[in-house]
Amino acid sequence: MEVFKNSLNLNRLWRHWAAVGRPIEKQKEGKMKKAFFVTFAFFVCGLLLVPGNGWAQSKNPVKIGVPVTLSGMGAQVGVDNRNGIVLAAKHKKTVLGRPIELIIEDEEGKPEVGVRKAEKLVFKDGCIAILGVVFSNVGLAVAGEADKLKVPFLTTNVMTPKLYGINKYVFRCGQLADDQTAVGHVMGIAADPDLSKRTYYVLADDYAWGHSCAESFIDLAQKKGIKIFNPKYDNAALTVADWSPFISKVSAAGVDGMYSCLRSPVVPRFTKQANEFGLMKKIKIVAGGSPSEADLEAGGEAEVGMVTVCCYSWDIDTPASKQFAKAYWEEFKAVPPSQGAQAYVGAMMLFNAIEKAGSTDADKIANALKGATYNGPYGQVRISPKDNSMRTPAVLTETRLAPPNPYGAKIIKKVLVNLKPEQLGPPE
Amino acid sequence: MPSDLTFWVQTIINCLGLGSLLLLIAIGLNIIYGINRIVNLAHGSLYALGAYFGYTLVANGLNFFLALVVAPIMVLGIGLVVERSIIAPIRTRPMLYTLILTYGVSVLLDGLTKYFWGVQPRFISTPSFLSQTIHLGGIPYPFYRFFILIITFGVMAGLMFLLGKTKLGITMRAASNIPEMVSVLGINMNFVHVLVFGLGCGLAGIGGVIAGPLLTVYPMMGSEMLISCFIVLVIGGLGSLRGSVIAALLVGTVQTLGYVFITDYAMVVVYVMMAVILSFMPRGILGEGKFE
Repeated sequence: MEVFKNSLNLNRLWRHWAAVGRPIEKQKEGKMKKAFFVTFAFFVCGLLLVPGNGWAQSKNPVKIGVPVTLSGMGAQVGVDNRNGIVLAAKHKKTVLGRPIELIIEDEEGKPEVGVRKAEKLVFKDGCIAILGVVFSNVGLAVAGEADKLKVPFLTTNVMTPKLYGINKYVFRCGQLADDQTAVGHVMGIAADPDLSKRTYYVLADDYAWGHSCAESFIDLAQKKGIKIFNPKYDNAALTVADWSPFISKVSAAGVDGMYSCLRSPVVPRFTKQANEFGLMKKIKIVAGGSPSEADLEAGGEAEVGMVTVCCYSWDIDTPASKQFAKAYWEEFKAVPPSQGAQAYVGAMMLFNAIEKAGSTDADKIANALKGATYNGPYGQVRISPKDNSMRTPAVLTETRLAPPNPYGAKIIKKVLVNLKPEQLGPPE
Repeated sequence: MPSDLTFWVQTIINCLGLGSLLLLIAIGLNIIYGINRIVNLAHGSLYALGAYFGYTLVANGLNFFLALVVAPIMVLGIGLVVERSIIAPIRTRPMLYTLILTYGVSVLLDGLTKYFWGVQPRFISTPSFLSQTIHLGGIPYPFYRFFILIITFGVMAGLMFLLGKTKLGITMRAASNIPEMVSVLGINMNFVHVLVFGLGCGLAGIGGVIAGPLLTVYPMMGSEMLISCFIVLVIGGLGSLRGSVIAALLVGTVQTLGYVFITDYAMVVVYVMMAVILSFMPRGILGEGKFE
């Protein structure tokens, strides 16, 4: 209190000293000037605080909502997606001259939670776009709310074809759809004499993605003359932990191939158990959903010999691919994952679209995303304005024991064939 | 429908294998309810913790069989801490309190598991002879699944012996039926409660280590297994050991055959079976179930 009083006195003394010796007119003129400057300063401050003014907003970050699965069985894929988005934000640094703020939420792989988290991100946190979502059932649920959310929703991992053109605000960004992977797999099988003569048993997870994955493949494979043992494919409950009944069934079917539409974390469990039954020596697995690198590492040698189509593998020998892999490793000390690369590409496309739109307005960003292109870790990708889904190059790979590598990976998705976007479709 | 002998032999052993695994995991939950009258919703998380402890011990060079002893002891230790600090103070309150608190413990343990081990799935490495495929008259079958049968049989035999033939076991059973009388006889009831809870947690730990090499070790593995455990408990009758054995084998058989013949509805059949048994045999399949 004493200090406060002293400071007041000092202030009074200063004013008194400044006025000493000055004529009364000058003192009045000085007061008027001061009043003018104070008024002007208030006016400028007022202008800066008016919403919508660029300078005032320049300090506010652009908020992006990132709902991904961070708990339960699919958590690893969610972490890969999250990391890819975080890395993209780090590389991009700013959009519209403003910092990027990612608000990450765990959607638990549950549709109802996904919708709740998306609403929270938009209505409570003020996010201008939703980016991420791991599973198709969650993606479809959030897409169903797009008109209510009224912000662009870009999914980086959802594969169901039902997402094509579902809403003007919904985009598949960074990720192949099931019909595209089916085309890739059928092309790969048809081109390989060993694969093309096999009969395939189709086993799928019993939910939106599993069904679309199996149906897309069966439909196309039958048209191309590939033998399918069970066109009415087997659905496995999501709670299956012991795969022995299915393994015995596949074994008894006498097939020599299997098309697996199992979620990434389920794949090592299935292959390890199948290996112990001796099934892996008899069949070749074509994985409809490419397992994440972390899941392959968990399964180890039991994962060797699987054929799968994916957007990205760290085996892709281009400078952009190597650059992404190096950056991912340096940031997270983990094997660069295909899902992480997809999410990275999706995030970069969103950031670029916001800049192209020159605004955070949802319609302007959505318009900017239509036809947008990006040259990233797996080449040039483009969002089709026809159906808001990505046309992307991909690689047909086979899982093999990895050669010595900087990431300490035991398993590599060895690139067998490069697939162009126009080969994978769908036609526009 | 597959008709070859290999398939049917494999399917029969698959039924037994799944049933024994369910029994191994569910039995600890059953003992805790049967004697302490506590529905331990943290049981699944303790099972997961056993798997993670087992993984860490084996990954750091400990022999799998030693890990099978050490990891359950570690889980038992955590169980004792939970019992003393959380459950004991509210033992006299209605069961709802323990339900909510043990659910809270499960959330905490799942969170800690995720924090310390991350989200990457893991497998517990086993000695090579356990990973081999054996041939029964030319029919291939993984040896590890027989090992699960052997361990489950051993655990059940030990448990039956403990509860049926030892003074301690008899005290435990008496404490579950007439706690006041046991207390009047000068037996420390707290000791009995602690012992039973620790035993149940230790059994969850054994289940975790045994399941680890087969089912993948990952966060939330406990929550998923807890549902199956409760199905076994309800069908077998809450607190009934013999009922649990039959229920686990029944659930394992129905589930396995369901996946073979009516793949899409296999789990529906299991739940319908539980509903029917609950309706007509509310005390479980042997009528030995206990209600609070």
